[in-house]
Amino acid sequence: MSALALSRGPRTLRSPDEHLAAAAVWLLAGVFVLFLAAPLAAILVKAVQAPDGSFAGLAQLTSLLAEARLRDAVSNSVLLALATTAVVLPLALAFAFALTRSRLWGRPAWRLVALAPLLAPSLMPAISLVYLFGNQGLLKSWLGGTPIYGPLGIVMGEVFYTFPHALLVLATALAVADARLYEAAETLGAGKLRRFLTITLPNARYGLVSAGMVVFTLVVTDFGVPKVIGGQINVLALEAYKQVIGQQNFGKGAVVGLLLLLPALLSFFVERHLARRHGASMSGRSVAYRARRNRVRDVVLGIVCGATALFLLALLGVAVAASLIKLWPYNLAPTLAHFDFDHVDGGGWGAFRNSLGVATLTALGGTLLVFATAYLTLKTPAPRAPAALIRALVLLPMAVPGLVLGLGYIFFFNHPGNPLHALYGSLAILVAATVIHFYTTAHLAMVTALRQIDGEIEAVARSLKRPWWTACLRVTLPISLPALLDVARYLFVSSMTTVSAVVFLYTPDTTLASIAVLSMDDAGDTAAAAAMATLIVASSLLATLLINALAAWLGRRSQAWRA
Amino acid sequence: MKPQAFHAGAALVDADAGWLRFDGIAKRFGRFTALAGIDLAVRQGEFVCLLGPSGCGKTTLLRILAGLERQDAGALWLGGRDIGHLPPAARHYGIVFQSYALFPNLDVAANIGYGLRTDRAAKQRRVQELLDLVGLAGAGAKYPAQLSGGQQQRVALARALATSPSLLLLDEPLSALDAQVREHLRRELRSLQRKLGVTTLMVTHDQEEALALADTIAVMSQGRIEQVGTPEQVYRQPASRFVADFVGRANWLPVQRDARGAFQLGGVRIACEDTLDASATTATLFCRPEDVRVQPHWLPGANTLMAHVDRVDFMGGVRRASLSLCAAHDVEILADLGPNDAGFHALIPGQRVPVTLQPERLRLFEATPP
Repeated sequence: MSALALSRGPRTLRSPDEHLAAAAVWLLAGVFVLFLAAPLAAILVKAVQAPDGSFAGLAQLTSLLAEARLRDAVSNSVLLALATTAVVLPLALAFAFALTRSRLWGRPAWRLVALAPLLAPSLMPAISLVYLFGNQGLLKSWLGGTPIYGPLGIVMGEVFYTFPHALLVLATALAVADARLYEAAETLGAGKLRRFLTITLPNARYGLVSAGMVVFTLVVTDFGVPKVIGGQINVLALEAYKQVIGQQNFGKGAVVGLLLLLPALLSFFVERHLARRHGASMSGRSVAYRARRNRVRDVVLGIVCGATALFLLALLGVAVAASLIKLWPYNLAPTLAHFDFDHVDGGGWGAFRNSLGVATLTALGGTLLVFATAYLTLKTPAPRAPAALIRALVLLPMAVPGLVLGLGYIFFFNHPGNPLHALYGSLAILVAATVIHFYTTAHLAMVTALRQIDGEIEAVARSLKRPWWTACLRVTLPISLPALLDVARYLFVSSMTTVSAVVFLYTPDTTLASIAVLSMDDAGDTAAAAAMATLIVASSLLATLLINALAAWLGRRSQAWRA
Repeated sequence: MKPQAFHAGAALVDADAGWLRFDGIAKRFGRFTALAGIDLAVRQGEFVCLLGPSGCGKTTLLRILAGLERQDAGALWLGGRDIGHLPPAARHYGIVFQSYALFPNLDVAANIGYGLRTDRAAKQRRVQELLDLVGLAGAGAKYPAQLSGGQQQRVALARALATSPSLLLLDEPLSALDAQVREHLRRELRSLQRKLGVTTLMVTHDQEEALALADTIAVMSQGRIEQVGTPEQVYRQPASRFVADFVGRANWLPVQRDARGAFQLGGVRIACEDTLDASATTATLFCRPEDVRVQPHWLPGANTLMAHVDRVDFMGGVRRASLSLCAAHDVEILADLGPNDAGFHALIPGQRVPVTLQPERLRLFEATPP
């Protein structure tokens, strides 16, 4: 039989335009190696190098671990993260349950309030807490002598910062309930409690573990809250910052960076393991669950949601209010004086302009990169090796804290031998770091959207002899515009608010608004810091509203063909 | 397997029998052999159905012909040209998928005109022509989501035919439709294909569809072609037990050779036009349910046995009787009878009836457990 005469040629058949796509995939793989794999490798190298560049092995790690300071930082980080997780998880679970499984009035509005912290940098709740419970705080007496500067303040700030992330995970996990399971259980005679214990909780277990991991990792790697309100408490993220910025000790900074990577890597693998086991149970067509009337449940959930929303709005609103008031809490006359940044450090309006520029470029460039990468690897006959490399690399940013990525960027791009050295200190490197830092979420959203489009559309387009970009521009791109807008909004808001990804990479000329908040607070100009944070929230909000309006307009225009 | 398994039907022995030729096409996915050396010749203008259960490799074969999948070995010839190494765009075919894969954001006219690279006026004319051809005149400005399944299917067909391809590939094009529309579209597809004379290769798992549409059926199983032939040949003279079972219903009756070399069923000698290797002492007799004749009265004759009526199922146009031989109770025979058949009224459960197996409709297979 002629099957024995194996004539293995290239695995896929490409027309000239498809060869171009293949070349683009190789190029993209190169981009990810350069801006993601290489900087991370640079950290590993730095961690085992002595300051003079010679190989030091684990000497730096052991010498660091011998310091009581670092051991304190590690245990503080872990304890604070555990405490925050313990507070956030039940609250977020109740809130998510209210959003997805109750008939609580005004659920979309509750959702918006709960997600509002996403618009603010993590420094903002800390500033609000200072105003509320600090030395001149309005409600200082409520704490009964416990200072807000310390564990209490950190946990409260982190609860604000991590709550929406946990809520998103849990609401998604609860939203996929299959009504048929509940009906089947009911016909078998299971009561409410038994249905909750045997169906709801097991199904939400994956969401709970995953939300717990997210919160824990965010707290361990966050740097904004402890910086502002941590007082004398040292945590790992601060330690990395001090080693690198304060003492210029890059090797120790790298080791601390690797320690920060541990919880994220752990949760990454636990999550992937769970997702694989979880996937099997969620296949098949399910029937959407609809909550029944239950007054007691709705009232209890309403109280929990109300209290949580009040807390979130207070931590957001106090900083905004403080920025518009002469001298909190003594002179409550309205003023815009705090928005005149000329007399304070931090870069002022220039920093804000930089932030807008970086956020806009991140949103535009990042969305383009995300779409091009997802499209070319999913919808064209992409060569296997670079496509597999891209698929593996794009999942990494989720497991890499911004601080660690930033460290890698310094080590890699600041190396005098690097031909891309010129990037260092430019706005471009800030854009690159931000895009990469937030890449995984954006990529997964885009891939999900593209996978929903019939894969045979491209097969038909190929048979009709038009180059792939015709199908891409005329069909796939217009269909996936809503997802593109989602990604752009996510990237814009994230890059407005991030501190950790850029704190090692800015220069006096390229400083950003979120960094300015940090410097102003450091210098004691708390009102100016609140004003800058308010600007960040306002521009994030404005961008969100604009993009939502654009999406609504597109939705109306495409109503004719979206059945 | 019978030696005639790979013989093309008599109608196929033309000068242009190999206009489209699969020559030892093989394909593996990891350790799974999807195609184990496929040879198939298609005449120009022929309607060929690749028929088989899911996982038999029929869709893979179509995708290899379309250039969407690359064969591991073998060659593809189209009009004397080796096209096995060309990208899809260079192969000149039109394709319709089960999902239709219509461009949802383009209207019907833009969908049909997508592959046309002529000026606007000529494009409009051609789109109009195609809309008329598939019976959708006036629907050009609608979007796919506004059409019914059957209409979407016609748009997909018109789009595939727009560039006048020499080859039309259909991947289960009718299976997403409900039964009535499917039957209607089946007839239309057939007459359209005749009218245009476009060589057509259709993948289907629906044997009824294949029998009704195809000039030639290639029955596939586990990456191999089991039989190539006209619908009549595949149905009447299945080349293997697999084909006999997959296409239509079959009775499998155990027979033994007697002292004079003839086969016997339940002690009755069976006259049969088919022959089997003389060394075989036992065999299995193949017979379609409609070829079992139930007699109203006992008439001694060849191939006639007494049987017990176990059950009668009403199936619309016919009744299906489950019978067991009086001489061998464990041998079950299915018989399909219409109301105009002579023995129709004798079919009463519990009764005994004489049944005759028609010699010219019987086939012999090696005796292997079914």
